[in-house]
Amino acid sequence: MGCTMDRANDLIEQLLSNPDSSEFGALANELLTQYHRGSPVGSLRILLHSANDRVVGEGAWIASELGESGKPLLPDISRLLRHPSKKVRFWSIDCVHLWAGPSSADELASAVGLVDDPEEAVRWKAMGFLAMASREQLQAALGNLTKTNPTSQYTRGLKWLIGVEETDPAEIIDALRSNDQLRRKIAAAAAYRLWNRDSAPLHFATSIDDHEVVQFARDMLKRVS
Amino acid sequence: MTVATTAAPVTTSYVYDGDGRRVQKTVGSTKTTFVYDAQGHLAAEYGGPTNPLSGTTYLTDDHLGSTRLVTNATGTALQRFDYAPFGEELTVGIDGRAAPYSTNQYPTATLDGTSEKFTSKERDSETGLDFFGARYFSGAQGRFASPDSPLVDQNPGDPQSWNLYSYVRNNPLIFNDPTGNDCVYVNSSGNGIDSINNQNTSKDCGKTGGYWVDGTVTNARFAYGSLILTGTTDGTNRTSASYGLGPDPGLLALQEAGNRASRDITTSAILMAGTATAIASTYAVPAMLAASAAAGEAGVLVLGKGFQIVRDATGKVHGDLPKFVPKSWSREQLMEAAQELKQSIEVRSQELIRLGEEGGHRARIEQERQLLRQVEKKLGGS
Repeated sequence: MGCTMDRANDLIEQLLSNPDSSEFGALANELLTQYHRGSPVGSLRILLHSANDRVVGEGAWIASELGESGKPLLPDISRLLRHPSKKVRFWSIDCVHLWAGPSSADELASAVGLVDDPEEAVRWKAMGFLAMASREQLQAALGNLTKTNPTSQYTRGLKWLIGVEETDPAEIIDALRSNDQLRRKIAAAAAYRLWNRDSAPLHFATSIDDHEVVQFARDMLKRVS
Repeated sequence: MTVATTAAPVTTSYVYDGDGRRVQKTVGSTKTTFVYDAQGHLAAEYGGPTNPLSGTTYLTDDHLGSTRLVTNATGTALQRFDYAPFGEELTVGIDGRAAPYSTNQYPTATLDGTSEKFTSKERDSETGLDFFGARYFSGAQGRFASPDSPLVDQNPGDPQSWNLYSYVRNNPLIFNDPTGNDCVYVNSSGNGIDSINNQNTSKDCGKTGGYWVDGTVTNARFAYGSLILTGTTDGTNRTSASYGLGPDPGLLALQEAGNRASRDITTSAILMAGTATAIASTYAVPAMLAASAAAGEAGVLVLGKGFQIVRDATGKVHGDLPKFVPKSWSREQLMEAAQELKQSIEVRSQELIRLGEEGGHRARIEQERQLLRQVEKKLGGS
């Protein structure tokens, strides 16, 4: 454990001192291995609080790879959901997906909101979160939004997603035809959630006139095929 | 429960030790002290009210461990006990029962001298509740008197699992809850169970090198170089999610797993999401121990040497990967690993395309691809 910690600290120092190095990715991956082998994950906060976007982004990626053992970092990740770097926001969604339970409703609601992020990559990731988040996570996000922002445009969509198991597939297809872009995105996530019961909505999503939804649906189809 | 007040009124107070064993009971002014042996078995009772049975008596139990017959040294039946499914005593007068059947109507101040009743748990005459260690059980109501820990052993497909007061998922004729937990000892090769003890405490289990798991172990298999124990508290074997680890057992299992991992013996434990979330956040255990909390085998405890290749809720394989395919992996395990890796690589590749940035993520994909190539090579050659 001692050697692992020393090596982890050494790697953190190298990442901080030379974020433009061509070895940056390899070093980050090695740091991840050190965490897998038992080095305390608390040291990752040094990267997560860095002023350098690339360093923070790599820190967020490492955090997203830690699985449940990274959960103590959730408060640090919480503020990163609003970080200016898309890479940071992207990987932070995965962290919230893996770690946030009903008691982390703020984080879950923030992750839902990223479905309207200015960056397409982040929107894609947030749609994936809506598609794969547990029912409890969605309910917690809904509870938070209902309390803090009752008129939020996401509450209706979340309510619909939570009850999607009982939804008529034709209703999802109708939603995918909607003029409302948010509704289409939520419908695409619903189509994935309904995949085991009926694959038609997800297939239909690949044919609509919405590049983002089409791409998302194609990606999800690749995962299930 | 530390105090019970019943009709009369009589106030009873209970005292427990650090392992949750009840060491003293005071009913009114009558004090009973319980003494346990090194294995945690109740060894003796001191004080308390006078036992109406004299001499040595012999208890005969049924398949659930419930006391059904009490005899003396000559074989004479002194007492008989029949129970309703959830342990309520069927007394004299019910369906023609006559002496020596019980006449107990709880709460009662009149002791019959045999406190070990339904599933051999001690029934308190002052309350009529059975002491199950962690909780008290009411046979008359067929429910525990306090709830189980939430989000530990709950399964969306099993509505009864959400009732935190229910006893053995409402199937009491077949199943019992001996201690609520099993202590499992793995053999020295790490590829099978040496023995299972359902009587000792979590502390003793940890001290003696066992793995403390919730419920009754019903099956063990060896996969990915790991021993996977499955079982259930309700006796219904499911293909997955059959083991729920309570906070304490899970803590111990993870601590043990973490200790072993730090000794360079790779050990993994996959726990139900709630437990893993709660515990792994507290202890610095390798990510792979709990990485698969939301995966298909959630709730299965994996012990032993080896790596577990299982995707988590985000669709990716997390945790340390072996540099080489373990020799112990069977063809079936290789196929499963290949499938998991392929899907993880697909998700990661999509992320790479969407994000358009590289870094450590690309290195991770390369690691997974490298392992997949080895697995596929083995599959092709075997």
